[in-house]
Amino acid sequence: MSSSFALRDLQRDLENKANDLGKHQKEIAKNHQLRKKYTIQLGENELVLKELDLLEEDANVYKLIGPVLVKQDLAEANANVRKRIEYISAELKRLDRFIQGLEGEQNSKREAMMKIQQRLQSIQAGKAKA
Amino acid sequence: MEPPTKGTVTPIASLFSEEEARKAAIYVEEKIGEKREAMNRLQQFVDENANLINLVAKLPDQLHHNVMVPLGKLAFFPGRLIHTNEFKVLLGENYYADRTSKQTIGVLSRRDKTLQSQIRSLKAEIEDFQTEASFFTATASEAAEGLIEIREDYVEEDSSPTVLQSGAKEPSDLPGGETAVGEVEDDEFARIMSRLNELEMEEEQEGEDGDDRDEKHDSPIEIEEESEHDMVKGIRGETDHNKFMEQETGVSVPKKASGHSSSILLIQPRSKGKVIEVLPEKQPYKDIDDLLNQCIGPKTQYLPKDQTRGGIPQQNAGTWRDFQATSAVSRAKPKTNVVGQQKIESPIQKPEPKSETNKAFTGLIVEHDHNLQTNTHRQMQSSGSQPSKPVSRFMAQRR
Repeated sequence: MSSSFALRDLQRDLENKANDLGKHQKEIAKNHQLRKKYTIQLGENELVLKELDLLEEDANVYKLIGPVLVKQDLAEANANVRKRIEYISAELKRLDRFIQGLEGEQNSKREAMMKIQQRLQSIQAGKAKA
Repeated sequence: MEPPTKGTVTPIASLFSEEEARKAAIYVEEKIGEKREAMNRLQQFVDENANLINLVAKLPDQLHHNVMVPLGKLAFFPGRLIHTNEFKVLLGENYYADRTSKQTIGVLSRRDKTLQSQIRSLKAEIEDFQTEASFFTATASEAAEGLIEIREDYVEEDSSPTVLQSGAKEPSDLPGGETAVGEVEDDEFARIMSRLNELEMEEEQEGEDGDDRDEKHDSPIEIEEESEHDMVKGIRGETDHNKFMEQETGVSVPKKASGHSSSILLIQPRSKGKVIEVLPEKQPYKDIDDLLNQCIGPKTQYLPKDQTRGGIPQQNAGTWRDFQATSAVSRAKPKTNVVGQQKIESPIQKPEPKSETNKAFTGLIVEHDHNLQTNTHRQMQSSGSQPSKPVSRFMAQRR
């Protein structure tokens, strides 16, 4: 009787763990997506910076804000883009660390799940023998 | 699979099930599809970019263009394009810059370059995935066909075939080829030596006083011998004759094992295990040794010489190895060659008539045979004064 209790406990545990792991994986996937977006943005910003560097000093630069183009100073635009690149790189690094941590957690969770599964199987095997 | 240590046979199907391999292949194919899509998109951008460049290049040809301006989805109204050489170019990130047609073309062509490089990297990725996919499909088909993987670990064999091979391959006795075999040989040799040492110690204890006397007696003979053969002297002077004996016997045991099976029987009571261990190693030589009895003569002759000169067991091990190599070589080459290859051999010995040295040496072997016999006898009888006796007799014969 007690073994069946333990079995049920284990099964519930396993289920919880599986759900947890699923959530975790979703989160990881989300973060990966975010990371991808940031990398693309970084690439774009670098391109913009390159173009801005190529512009003459007196060139007119505009920024599209909502439906209107707002005239901007070239130096200002340049500084803005640089800042943006910095921000994105920092964000990417942070995301990388975050994802790494998540993956580590995921692995540990998976291991825990495997252990429970093994215990479950052994109990079931014992039952089958008995 | 008779010898279980030889290797393992695993059907590929057990390592990668066919289904799994197929799944992997399908997964990789999907990846390839995704990448292809991305590449197509990029290619589209490139095309659009090219069109745009064309347009931008054409626009300033005229001062103004009459165009239909779209108004909503359905309506158009006629309009005129003026300022045909002024563009607001999107640089990205919602930044626009005023540019002329030429400058715009510059911007667009730079954009084209980045797109091309992206396409190139994508192509490389696709190629990688394709090779992966082909590998998976190949594995799947192999698993389906029931292919097996035979894995055989390379083990350095301490049996004579390896010695033979290495000897044949590297008759010049290169250290690189020999080292691996040599190590194994060293082990064997060390074991034989330790066993002999033990026995020698026993004898020594049995007849200690007699030994002492004989050693004193030995020294004058040694000096005489030195003039004849440098070989023996080194060890004599350095170490007691007991050590010398054991070294020589150490060599002669396998020698006899190879040459004459009858003598093995004689030795067996003394160091049964060792001889038996050595025997299989040497047996392949047997017939050849018979054929090349003369060859063996000089070979064996300088063997103990090396040992005596070295005077150290480790070096003995080395010579032992050398000897084996040469024994392999001697079969293939004339005797003189062997002599030449053996660097350790003293130049004095080379010109010596073979038959004489041969005899001397065989005498030595026989003598040791005697030694062994007497030793065994002695062990049984445990008579005190005997152990030194065979040595002196051996000396006399040599002279």
